[in-house]
Parts: sequence; structure tokens; C-alpha cells
Amino acid sequence: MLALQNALRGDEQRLDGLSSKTGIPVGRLHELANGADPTMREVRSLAGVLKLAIPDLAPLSKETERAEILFREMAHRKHIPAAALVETLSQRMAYSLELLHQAKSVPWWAKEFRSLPQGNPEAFAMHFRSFFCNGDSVSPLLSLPGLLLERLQLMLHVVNTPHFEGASAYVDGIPFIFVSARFPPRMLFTCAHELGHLLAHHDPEADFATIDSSTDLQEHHSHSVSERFAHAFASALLIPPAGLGIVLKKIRQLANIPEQSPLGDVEMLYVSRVFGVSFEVAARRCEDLDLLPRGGAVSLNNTLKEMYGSAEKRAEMLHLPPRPVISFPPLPLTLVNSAVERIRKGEVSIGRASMMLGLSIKDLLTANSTQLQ
Amino acid sequence: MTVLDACSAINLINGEVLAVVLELPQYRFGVGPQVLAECGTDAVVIGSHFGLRLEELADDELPASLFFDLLERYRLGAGETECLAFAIANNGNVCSDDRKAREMAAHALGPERVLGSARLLRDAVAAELLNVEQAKRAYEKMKAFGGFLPSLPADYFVDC
Repeated sequence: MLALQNALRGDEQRLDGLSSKTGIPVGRLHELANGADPTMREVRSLAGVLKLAIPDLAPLSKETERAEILFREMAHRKHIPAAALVETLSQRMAYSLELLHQAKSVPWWAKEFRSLPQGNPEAFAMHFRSFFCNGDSVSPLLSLPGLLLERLQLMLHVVNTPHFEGASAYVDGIPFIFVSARFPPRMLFTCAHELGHLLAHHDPEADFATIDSSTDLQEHHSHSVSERFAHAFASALLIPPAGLGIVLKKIRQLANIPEQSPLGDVEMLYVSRVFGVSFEVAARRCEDLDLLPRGGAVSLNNTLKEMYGSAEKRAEMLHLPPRPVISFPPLPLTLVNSAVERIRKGEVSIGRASMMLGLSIKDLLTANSTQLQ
Repeated sequence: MTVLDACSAINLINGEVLAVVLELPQYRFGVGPQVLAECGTDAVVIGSHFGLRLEELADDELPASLFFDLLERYRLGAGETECLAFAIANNGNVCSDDRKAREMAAHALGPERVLGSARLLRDAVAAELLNVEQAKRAYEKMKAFGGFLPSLPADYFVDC
């Protein structure tokens, strides 16, 4: 019960607060903090107030400890103050590993990107599209989250914590991407950014993890080569040059903008909506492709902020079509299917699977019923 | 005391036989707070039997050390572990329809102290609370709702 003892550490004022919320006398809380055995009723009351699940108070499993080491090292290296974040990511990863329970193997697609010239994000993006999008080098890729889950069998988790932007990892050859729940276009970009790390930087044969506290454009000027690559890869993947050309031409036709006039905010706003990215990402992509002068993206974005409050507000004022929906499936289907299979075989109990997936027992019964049909 | 876990309680509700099974004279049934929480909307149905033929088990005497020892040893869910802890504390039995939970309960308590909803249906037929067809239909309903239940021999409900 060390976890509960740790959770009860604090000053008298904190214990007073816990006491009034749980009805457990302060004296008893002191006893519990000093190692007395609580009753399950006390554990339930305290877990509820501390916003913990009861199993969170159990000692860490071997899998969670392993994942924690990977993330903690990276958080420390990147100066991310993130004890709770590390715990959340580690637990999600450990639960996935336990449910998948597969022998160490490298994903079949990983080697396809090994022979590409490192440092060429456009080549990586084109190769990805030729492999997983039937060679479509034009269309928006709003379905990237679903594609990663279904075709690449990647463990994509959306995590509801603000302390990070994204994270990626390989453990036992299983690829993981974690995305912080935010504005969906930002999540899509983060997803592509982390994919860039997985394809080009992580060795699938070795356990590795990285955490990004931000994927903001301006911050990437000073970032490492790998961060700049991941950023450029994400832009190239989500806004392919051929697609961008077609969209810009069409917008100019519709808005009666002369071909020779320089690109402006209206075209950028359209581009951002069509390709499911933020205004900044769209403008910066145009800058990278020499369609805007260097510094033009930041300048345009700042102007829109000053004049209209934000790029999104400007788009609303112009009555641009609404942004298309970008969906992030709540859980990798592979995980749910694997859980159902393992419950049937008696390898994992339905209660444990329910706790690990954050699904109810009834949800798992429904998943089993659907599979049987 | 026979302690129900969430999947067996939900299966019995899905088979529309919870009320019938609770009438079995040779059993005294109980449900703990963690299991009740895991039953979601079905907790209302379960709660409607409290004070009648179903006991609402209180965990203010249940030592957390026992719960966490079992949780670590058997790696079950919180409700399944609570069920096992109550069975140990009360020298009772466990009713579960989950294969792993049953195996672990059999290991902890002995196989004679572990049963499932199929056995309860069979006992209900023997006690003439259900006929064979009703028991079969209830079992099929539980499976259709996704119950992780094994196929039974054709005469399972007949020879009792």
C-alpha cells in the first residue's frame, strides 16, 4: 500500500481537506499515511477523492515499470516536468503490451523506409502515400488516424492531458503514438509528426520512446535535426505539393483572384480547411515550397491574430465552408479484438480487460457479441 | 454466501433470469460495491433485489491488504478481485462466467467453491423454478448478448 501512503503525504491542511471529503477522521488518515492497513471502504473513498482507480494504488507491474523507464528518461532529457504524464503514457503502453501479448517482431512496413535517404522528408512522405494511399499524391489525408490503426496496426492513443503534444515509441517492435486531445487539426499534425519519428528515427528492433512537448512551428527553428525532419515530414504528408497546386488554382478561380497576384490569407485559410491543418501549418508549407516569402507565414498569422483575434475567426467571418471532421478512434480496434480473443481463451479476465481498456464490462460483452455475429 | 461478479450478474440479467435464480433456496447471494459499480446501468436492476434475496456486501470490514494481495497474485479486475476477497472473508463461494476469473478463484478457494450462471440455471431447473426449455433459452440469450460462455452438452439441463 505504498502508493496510498505516498498519495496521503502532505501537510495538515491537505489531510483536513481529505478528511472532510471522505469522512475519514484526520487521526485515521495519519495512521494510514504511516502504513496502517486500510479497509476497502476507506480505499474506495480516498481513490474517489484523489481521482484514482483502485488498481492504480497497487504496485506497478513489470510492464509499467519498463515503460516508465523509457518515458521518464526522455521527459528528463527534454525537461518536461511530467510525473503524471509519464505514469499515464506508461500505463497505457503497459496495458496494450499485456493485451496484445505478442512475441517481439518488427512491423512489416518498417524496413520499407530504411533505404530512403535520411533527411529527405518529401521522399518519406511520397513513399508513405505510394504505400498506404494507393499512390494518391494529391488528396487530403484526414483519415490518417484510421489508416495508422488499420493498415499499420499502430497503437494510436489519444490522451487527455495537457502536459505534452505527442509521443511515439517502439516497445517489443510494437509501434505506439500518443496524441494529446486538442483542436483536431493540431492532433492530426501531431499524429503525422510522430509518424515521422517512427519511420525515420526510431529503431523498431530496440525499445525507444520520445515525447514532444510542442510541435509548434516557431519553436522548431531551434529544434534538433530529428524534430525539424518530423515537422517537415508531417507537412509534406498532409499537404502534398501536387494537391496544394490543384487546390490553390481552384480557389483562385472561385474567388476571381488573378494568377500573378501573391498568395494571401484567404487562400491559406482555404488550404488549411481542405487539408485539415492549422492556418500556420498551411502557410508554413507554402513558405517551404517557395509560394510565400520566408517569414510570410508568421507575418500573416500575426496579422490575422491582431485584426480578427485568430485565423479561425477570420475564416468564420469569410463564411468559409466548415472544417471537415477528423476522427480519432477512441481505441485501437486491434486492442479490443485482442482483448476479446484473450478473454475467450481465459488468458485475461473480462474485469482486467475492462480496466485496461477503459471500457465497461457491457462494452466488452457487446464487442464479443459483434465478433460472434 | 455466493458472491456474484459483474459478468455473471449481467449475464443473468441479459438472460432475464436474475430474479428466478435469486429464489434458489440453497443459496444466499451477495454483491460487493466494486462489482455493483462495474455493472453500469444494470446496477439499478441488481439494487432492486437488495434486502430481498440479495445482500449488498459492505466493504468496511474488508482489509485492503487482502484485496491488493489477491489483485497482485491473480491479476484480475477490481470487481473480480473484490468478489474473491469477500468469498475468502466470508468462507463463501464465487459465481463468475469469466474463464480466467473462475480458474483463479478455483486456485484460491478450491474448484468446489466456484460456479457460474449455467450451474445456477441447472439448479433452477432441478428446483422446478424453470423448465428445460426456459433454461436453454435464457442461456442462449446470455450468449447472444456477448456472454463469454462455453457451449453446453445438449442434455446439460435435462440430467439434473
